[in-house]
Amino acid sequence: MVRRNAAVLFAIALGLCACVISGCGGGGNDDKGSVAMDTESGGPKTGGTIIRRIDSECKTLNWVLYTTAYEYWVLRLLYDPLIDFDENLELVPVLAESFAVSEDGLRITVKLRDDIFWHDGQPITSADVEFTLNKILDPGVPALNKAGYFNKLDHLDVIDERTVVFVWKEAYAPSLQSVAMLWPIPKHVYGTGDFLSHPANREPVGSGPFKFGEWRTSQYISLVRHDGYHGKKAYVDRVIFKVIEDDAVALNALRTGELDEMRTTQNQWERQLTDPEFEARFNKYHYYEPSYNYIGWNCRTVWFKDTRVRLAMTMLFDRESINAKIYSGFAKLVSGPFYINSWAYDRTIKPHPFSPSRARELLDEAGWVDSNGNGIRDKDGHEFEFELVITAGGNTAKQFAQLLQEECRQSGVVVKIRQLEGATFFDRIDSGDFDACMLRWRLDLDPDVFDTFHSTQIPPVGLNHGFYNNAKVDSLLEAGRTTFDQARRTEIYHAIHRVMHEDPPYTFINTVPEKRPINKRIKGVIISPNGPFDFTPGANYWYIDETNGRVASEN
Amino acid sequence: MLAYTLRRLALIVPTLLGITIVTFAIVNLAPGDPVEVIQSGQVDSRISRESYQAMLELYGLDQPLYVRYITWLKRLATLDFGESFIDHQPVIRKIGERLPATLALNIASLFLALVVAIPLGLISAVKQRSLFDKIGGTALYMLYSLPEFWIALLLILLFGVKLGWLPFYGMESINAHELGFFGYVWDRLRHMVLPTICLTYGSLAFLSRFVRGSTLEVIRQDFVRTARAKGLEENDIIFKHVFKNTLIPILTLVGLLLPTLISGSIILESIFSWPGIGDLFFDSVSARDYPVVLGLSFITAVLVLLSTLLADLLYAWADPRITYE
Amino acid sequence: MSDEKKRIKEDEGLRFADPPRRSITAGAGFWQIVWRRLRRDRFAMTGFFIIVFLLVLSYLAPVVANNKPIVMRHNDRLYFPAVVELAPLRWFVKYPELFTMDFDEIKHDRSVALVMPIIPYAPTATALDERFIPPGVSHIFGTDELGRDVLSMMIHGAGISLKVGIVAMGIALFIGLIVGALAGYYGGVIDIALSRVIEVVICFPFLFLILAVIAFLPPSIYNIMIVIGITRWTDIARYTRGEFIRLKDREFTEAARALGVSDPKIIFKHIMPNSLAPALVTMTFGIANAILIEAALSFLGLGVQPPLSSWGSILSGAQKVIEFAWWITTFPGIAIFITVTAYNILGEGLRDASDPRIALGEDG
Repeated sequence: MVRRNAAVLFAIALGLCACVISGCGGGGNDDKGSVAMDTESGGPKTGGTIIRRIDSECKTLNWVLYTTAYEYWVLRLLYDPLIDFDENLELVPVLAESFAVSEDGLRITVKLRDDIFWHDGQPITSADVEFTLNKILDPGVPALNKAGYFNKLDHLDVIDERTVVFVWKEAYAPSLQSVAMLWPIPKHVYGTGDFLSHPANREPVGSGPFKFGEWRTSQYISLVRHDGYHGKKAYVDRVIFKVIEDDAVALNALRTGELDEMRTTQNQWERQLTDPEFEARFNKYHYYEPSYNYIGWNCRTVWFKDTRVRLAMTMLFDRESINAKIYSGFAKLVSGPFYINSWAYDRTIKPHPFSPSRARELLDEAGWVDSNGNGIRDKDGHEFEFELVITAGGNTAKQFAQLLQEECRQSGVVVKIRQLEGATFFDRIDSGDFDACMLRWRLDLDPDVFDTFHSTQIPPVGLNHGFYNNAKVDSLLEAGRTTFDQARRTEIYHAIHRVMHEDPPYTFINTVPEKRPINKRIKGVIISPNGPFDFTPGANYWYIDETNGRVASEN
Repeated sequence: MLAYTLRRLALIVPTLLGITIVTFAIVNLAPGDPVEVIQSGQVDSRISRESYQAMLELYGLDQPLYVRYITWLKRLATLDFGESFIDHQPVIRKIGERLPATLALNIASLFLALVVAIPLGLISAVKQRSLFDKIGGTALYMLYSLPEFWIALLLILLFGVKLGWLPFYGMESINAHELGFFGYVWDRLRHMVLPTICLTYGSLAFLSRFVRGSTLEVIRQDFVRTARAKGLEENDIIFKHVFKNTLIPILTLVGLLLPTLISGSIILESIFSWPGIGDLFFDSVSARDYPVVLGLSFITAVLVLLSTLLADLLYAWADPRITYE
Repeated sequence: MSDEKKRIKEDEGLRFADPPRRSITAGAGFWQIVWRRLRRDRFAMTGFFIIVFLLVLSYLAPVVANNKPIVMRHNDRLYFPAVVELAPLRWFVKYPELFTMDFDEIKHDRSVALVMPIIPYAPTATALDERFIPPGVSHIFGTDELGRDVLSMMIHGAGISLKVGIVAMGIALFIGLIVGALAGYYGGVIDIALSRVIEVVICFPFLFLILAVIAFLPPSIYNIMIVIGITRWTDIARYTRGEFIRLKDREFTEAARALGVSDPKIIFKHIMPNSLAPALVTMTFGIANAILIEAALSFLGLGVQPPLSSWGSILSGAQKVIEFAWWITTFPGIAIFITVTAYNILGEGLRDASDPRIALGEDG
């Protein structure tokens, strides 16, 4: 008894010594990440390295040019936005001191703080904001990610060094979201030299709590804490983004401690993370990002121009079984085109049930019957035989397609599945050259889906690949994006939801959560409805607390 | 022979031209363009039609095919492969960054394969139809047909995770640069072990069977009979006379394998996060990054032509009865 | 030692008392001789029979593994849904009244499904309640992510894996032999031109060709096979060319020319049989390689279209689940191994059987 207590005391004493020697809160450059032990319990501790995983290499760290989610995660730590969504999905100022929308909704005034600086010490001013916007709108710059948000912008007024006004062509409800999409880049860096191949694309000068450390192509990118940050300083010394392409390899790296977190697949989540050892070392988070899976019907084809047929197809697809058996209940069915956590989604509208009998009734009603006795329904000389295109290389779409195919066959409808490689696939989709397709939409937080469903937005102009045409939806979409009144907007989008439920452009399938185990040594993790990264402050203030004895080895 | 060689070298230019035309045509045959790809894999893609057009112009993709070909050819004359559509880095730099990684793996693998396959093939030939020959052959075919990702994962689980002896992804550790010179080299070598094994085991079958086949041909020739009749030691015969003669077809084969040294296995590079040419190539194909694809094809073509010439010369040198007029 | 034993010993190993080197001529007896010699090679024949067995099995797949009954009663009539899926029946006989039938429901009903195939699962029949079942009594090789029986998928996919190799390399052999022979025999300008063609084809962007074919032509695995065939003949051509260069000035060729034998005959009847050896080895490896190429293409999603499966597509689908569903990779992997080995053993046997340096004419 005494011996054990002595041992414990001895350990604590050692710990205190360690704290004194390494200088509590200093951290140091030791790559193992010496973590100074705070004598207080529960306070965030400085020091250490967090290792995160990205699935494939970043192509650029230029905020205007980036195109993938992985670049986004890295850039989020390097840069600050003017305004951003917080963990409750409300807009808050970050680099801005304040922002305001005018009465008529046409002008958004943003006032910058006066104590904000780039990583190299230069001040951040409205000149940078203007510069960034010009780059986004520059036709010679492929700002594919950003340009669309400013289609309705008329111009930017620079009032003084700290004040800008976004002037819009018309009252445009998503305009605040657009402003949130503009994260300034430094004019004094990018102003000279070729923008597209600028060295700063590989060695960015940012404004966020972390600054650029090192980039080993296709191996990892490392960021270090910016001690001169104009806001609250981050805690960890380094954040490393390791490139590990293979999911199985990544999971193994997670287990050996070479990764602190990763995004896992459904199968891994269900079957490989349930052992007690894993549960003891990792917190398992899941959250729904704004997205949904769907089957898109081309409303110009002879089969799908009839609403009843589209309804029938929806009822032939057993989404409840998929949810229960393939996702083990770990996904949500959706009945409309909005983010399931958004105010725009009407939760009272339940998805159509799986009902082959009702589907057959509808098909009969619509005139699709087997008149020539070959087992396949037909009408006016057309057989009900269509091609469903899916992307090659993905398992999910393939599985869903086969389930649909089998069910359809039993109702006299022939589905031919065609797998196409990525670029080929999108070529067909973007030109509307398909019968049916299976895809996933990534959404913005603002529920404006004008580009996707308005009848004027058909290829090649917009994203209405399926040539959906519903006059009621058209007018609701137009109304929804021009009013700022939140209550009115909620009404409008719920109405859109209802109309689309009865006249579906798509078969809405489900939304699948992101699944992310994070090592328990990482503290300060906040999960917004949108996940742990996509808001302010996001992952900026994660810190390390090793007190549950994780063994780390960096490799 | 000199005249022949010079003539062949002179022929390289027109052949290259033909190859580039064919490659350019086929590459552009596949539907899709880089702007579409970037837009569609996209977080939020809402560019206007005008922006899309402008971007096509930016990349020169709105020009007719032959104009684009001439433009590309003109730049090629100055060894300028252009810039990648994806990240606007010079193509040469992108290829140069990844070439050493692929070369290291391929050369190591070739070396390992020859070291193992040549003795195996020799012994199989000498002991033709013996148990060793048959079982060995069957075992090698088994190795050959095992899927790469299976073996890779097996090795990763065993040596990387369970035993923890070897690192199982990447080319080097995060702190590699702080290890000092020898530490750094050792770290790199350790990272190479698993990928090299995966790359090698499949080629053992073909190489050793090839060696076996050509050894058998040599063994059956007159001079071997003569040597035996003279009463020379069997081992002497094998290693001094037979082996030397089998070296030539082996060299020819290695010559033919030269172009493959710069190609990487997409699957293995993906599993091991090995930043090589295979990964680059596949990404470029998927993204329709034409400058990179064309640049890689061109370099490969040059290597192919040089290695064919080399193989033909070696062949003639080996067998004096052969002449090219 | 008796003559019989001496001959056996000679066959087995190196021959020390060879008759003088002979060439062989492709006459009426050439292939008969080769076949007879091959038949005596038990090892090679094992490979042969394995391949034949697999081919027959893949042909009979619809009656061996299917959720449709071999004999069923419906509306007081007898139907044979599994049997009519066999070629050539399936192009002539159809049962439209059974088109929408749910076979998974009726297969347990003994009064309707009178005779069921041994493996009562169709390769495309998904069963969400039976996902990832390990090998056992109900599913001998287990099930996959959608509950499909792995053994059934493998039997139906065997045809594709076997045919891919044969079709692709058959095309390659045909083109390669002709091009190589012409280039090697005639030399000069023809050789220069054909060799350049070979070099151009070596540099073909294979992946792009596949992408273009998939995009524009109807989705069929045969298109892929043809693409593989027309891009893989170059090795055969080069080896054949080398052999022809070596052999065209030999005594037997001169003799044939002196006798006035025409060029084509010289090429195909005299030189070709002596030069097949390296081409055959390349071809057998090429067949095996074609199977693996198909697997790799399936891996990238460019192979067979769903709901069909090939061994390659089963393997590729299994990659992500290998750590907890080992059976989905193991069994197709073993099948590929057996097939590859069989082809290679057969190929080597063929090579040995057609090798002129092994004494001919003494067998009975």
